[in-house]
Amino acid sequence: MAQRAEIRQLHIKKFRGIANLKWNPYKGMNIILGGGDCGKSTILEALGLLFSSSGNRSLTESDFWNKKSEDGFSIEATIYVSDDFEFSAGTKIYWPWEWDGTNPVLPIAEADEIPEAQCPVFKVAVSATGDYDLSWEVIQPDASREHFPVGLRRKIGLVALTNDDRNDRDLRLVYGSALDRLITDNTLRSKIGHAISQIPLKGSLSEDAKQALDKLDASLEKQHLPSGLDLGVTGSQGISIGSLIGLLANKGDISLPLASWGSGTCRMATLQISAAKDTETQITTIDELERGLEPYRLRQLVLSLLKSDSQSFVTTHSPVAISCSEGAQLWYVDAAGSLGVLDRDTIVTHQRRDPETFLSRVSVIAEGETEVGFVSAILEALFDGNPLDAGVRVSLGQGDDQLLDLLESLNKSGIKFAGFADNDGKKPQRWAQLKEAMGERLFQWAEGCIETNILKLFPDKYLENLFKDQDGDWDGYRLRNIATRLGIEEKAFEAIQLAAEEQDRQLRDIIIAAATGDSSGVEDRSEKKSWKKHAQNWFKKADGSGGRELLYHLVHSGKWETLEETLRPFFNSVLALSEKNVVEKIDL
Amino acid sequence: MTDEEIANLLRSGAPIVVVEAPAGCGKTHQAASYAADAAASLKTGKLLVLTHTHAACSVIAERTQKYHDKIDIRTLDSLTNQIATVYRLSLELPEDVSAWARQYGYELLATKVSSLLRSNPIIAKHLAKTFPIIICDEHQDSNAAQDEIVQLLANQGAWLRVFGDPMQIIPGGQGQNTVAAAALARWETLKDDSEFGELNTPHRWRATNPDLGEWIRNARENLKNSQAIDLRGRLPRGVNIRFAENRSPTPANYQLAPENWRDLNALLEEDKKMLLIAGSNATIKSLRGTFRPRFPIWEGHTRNYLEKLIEALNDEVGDLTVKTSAFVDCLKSLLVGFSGNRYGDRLIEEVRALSNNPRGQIPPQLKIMAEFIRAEPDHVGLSKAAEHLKGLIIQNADGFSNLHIDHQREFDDLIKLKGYSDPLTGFAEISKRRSRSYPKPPRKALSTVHKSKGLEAEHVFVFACDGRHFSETQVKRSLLYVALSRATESVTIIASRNNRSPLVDI
Repeated sequence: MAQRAEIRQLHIKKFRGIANLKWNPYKGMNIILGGGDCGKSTILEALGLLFSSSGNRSLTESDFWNKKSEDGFSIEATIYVSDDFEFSAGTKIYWPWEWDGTNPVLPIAEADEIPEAQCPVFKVAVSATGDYDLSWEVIQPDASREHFPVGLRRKIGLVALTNDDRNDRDLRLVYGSALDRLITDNTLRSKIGHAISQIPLKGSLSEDAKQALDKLDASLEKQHLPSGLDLGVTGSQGISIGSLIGLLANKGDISLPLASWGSGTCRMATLQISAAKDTETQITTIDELERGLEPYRLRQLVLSLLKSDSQSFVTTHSPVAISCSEGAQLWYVDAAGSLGVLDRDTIVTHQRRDPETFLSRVSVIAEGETEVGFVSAILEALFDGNPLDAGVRVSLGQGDDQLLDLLESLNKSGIKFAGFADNDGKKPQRWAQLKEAMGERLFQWAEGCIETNILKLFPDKYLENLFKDQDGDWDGYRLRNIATRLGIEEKAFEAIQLAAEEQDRQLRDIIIAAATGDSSGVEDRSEKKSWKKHAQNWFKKADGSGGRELLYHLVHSGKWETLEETLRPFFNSVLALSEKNVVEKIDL
Repeated sequence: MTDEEIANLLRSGAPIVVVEAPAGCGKTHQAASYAADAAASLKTGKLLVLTHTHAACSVIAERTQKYHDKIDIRTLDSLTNQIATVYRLSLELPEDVSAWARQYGYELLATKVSSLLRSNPIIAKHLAKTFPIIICDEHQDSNAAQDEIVQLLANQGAWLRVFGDPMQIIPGGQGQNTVAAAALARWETLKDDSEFGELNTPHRWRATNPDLGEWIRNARENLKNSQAIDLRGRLPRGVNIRFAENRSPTPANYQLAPENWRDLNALLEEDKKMLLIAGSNATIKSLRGTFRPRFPIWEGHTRNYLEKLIEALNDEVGDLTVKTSAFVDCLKSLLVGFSGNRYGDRLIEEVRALSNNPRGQIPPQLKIMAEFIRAEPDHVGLSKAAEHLKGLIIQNADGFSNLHIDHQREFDDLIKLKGYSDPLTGFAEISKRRSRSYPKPPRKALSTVHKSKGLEAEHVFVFACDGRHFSETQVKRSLLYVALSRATESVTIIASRNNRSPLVDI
């Protein structure tokens, strides 16, 4: 059974772009999303610095928040280790804190009941002073600090895959690299050095070269300078022998450095090297999970991270990664640098179906296909082109309870989003609370759905147009639907009008009933099913074209003005989220 | 059990092993040898050796030097201190936990720590992981809290190897019988939960007097089983009995009957290394002037009178006459001849109100001492007054020539106190320095049983084996055993016929 180490809490202060972030990560896979420059990579870098397996890290002013080095920075973590992990080094004893579920706390001096399961955690930190001096420390329960030695940091075993394409250090024997940790042969370097020094190069020289060398030797001796010259590998300032030694693999018949394969392959190989020493703990950070990987390899990687028992932290821009990572915890970093959680259970359907929602700059969640089309059409006008180009994405949030759950979760996460919803009268309190939190970003009809609200605006004279397509041709299905509902055989428009008059019913109401698939009043089950399907002939089209058609009719009938004022605050809020200017009026 | 059996028992897979270790039976050798073997075998963590004194720490450290990086040797107080310091915020203790402990006592600190460990198994577990094997030395001297701490660690998986001798439980002071009974009960309970063995090879006497070793071992058995030691008939080589009676009108003191004096004096004048052990402080003081030449008092590693004085200074904050009264009591114990009516009462008077024109040899000096005390009404003033007094005694000043210093070192320590701003810290510092210098008793010395603990002496004289000094209690039985077991060549018991001790048959 492998030992385990888990980060329970991370507290970053004034490091790079992060002023103050206190975060309790998930014990499994953590996927961190967010727009550019929000601090996703910084979180990973903070972890990498705190658990760095070597002592040499040089700092620059950009490592300090607002480049103010005099304020220093600190990165603190509360870490849980399993029973079999010896959290000690040398003669020092590091003492545990207790974890109360949210924070590390001091043990209680006298408890009335002995707690069933306590969770011992340790506090560690790395901090920098204004002198660019780094110190790694363990924080004891009495607030005193002890040095947090490299050996113990290596034992905790953080594997970091960064954005740096050129960096293949983990495939070479650089001090502290994954390969170095795997091989742990202390004598290897000196053996290599010795072997290299034995390579007889002088013998391979041409005659002329040999003579030149001998001549030089003689003149040096004459000048009382060192003589007895030979050629060999001398190494260079600052480059260790180990860093020149790396893994080779077979490509066909020849042996090539593993680093010469593609970046995706290199990264996956690095992960394998780290995982190879499976008695040790492992915490993994990967910046840009999808880098260099085709979707099928990306899926493999996500699945292997999910399957492994260890904690991982990844950033990604890939919808593929999001869609196949059920079981991971999604987080969202907003522009202000705060980290919000996306509740796994509520978003899982949406995660699978429309992962891009979580990658957009602004997400507009609409209740149904019709709404998607309607809202998209208006946004296209407002953005003068494709709103997607500005990072605004309209997505479908499947109706009723699912939509409310999803919107509530998104609200807690910090993602910038807006919602366009029906009002079926259910759960009014929750909707009211959500409205209070979201303000104009949430649009909900006062009652009913989009069809009921728009269709009722058309005057009687206009209703005829609803039965015709853009070219002016009659839509037989729609006529048939209304005829059926009127109980007549003849589906010509005049017949329909007549029948409506005779039955003393408003044509408009019947159209609304058809458009919403209202099947009340029908007993027979198969007929009920057929009446429900009427909606698909009208505006509930899967491709959203129904919504666009509604908009077209609104504008064409001159009734857009009526609705515009009601809708304007919502669309302005979307513009504001996208950091565009709001409009005084939506002109269509 | 044989030494080999004990050695095997220690190295067995039993989680708790208790070894009863009478004096001189090779306990330290067994413990150190086991410590070395166990340390070598440890893959993770270290071996912890818990003792009660710094002296014991250094003895074991010496014998396990080779494995010093895998063995941690501490006193229980030091371990308690370390845990309490790290968790002081939980325990609501100030930053300087040692100072707190000196004021309120290490026993209270240990109680807080045991409560902390009991309430938080993770801390005990962490300690058990850090110290998977714990050796407890002289465990009979552990108080209830210390015993609980060790057991809490065992509960979380630490292995215990406990050494102790229930026949060396000798608490002093009031309520000693209750304390001793409790300690004995804890020892018995510990035995119940563990694998048990008893050392009984009298190694200490092998090179000097094996017969004596054998006899002492049997005497221990007698005392342990509530029997009397038979001193009638032929006694083995090295075991002697002399008879003497206490003629002092005050039973608390000890005044040798003149007829016994000559005989004993001749014995004590012989050119041998000898230790006179008496069962009470008062007896020691009385004996001090009894024999020629005067025997120095072995003050050991404790300073009971000084401790008492400092405690009194701590308790009564303010009232100067009460402080001076405690000071006078201290002087009465440290010196010979410092009586109340000649010196003490007058000193207190002077401190209360300085007299105008004191006359005579003594009062003016007392006034000077009082002035010191009034000028700095705390340990500093008292300390300076003591220094002045010492000067008078050394110079044989008029009126002070009959005074003698019985406890030289303790008196000097009292004088050293003036150099410290806080008496508790000062006392701790002085004690620490003293324990590092490991003083040894002089060639011939007087000592209480308590201060003789841990010592060996070639010839021991036990004063006085009568009904007052060695009555029928568990503590007295142990006291007698400790006294007897100090001897390596010979032991001479000074017994009374008129006031027989129930512990011996004469």
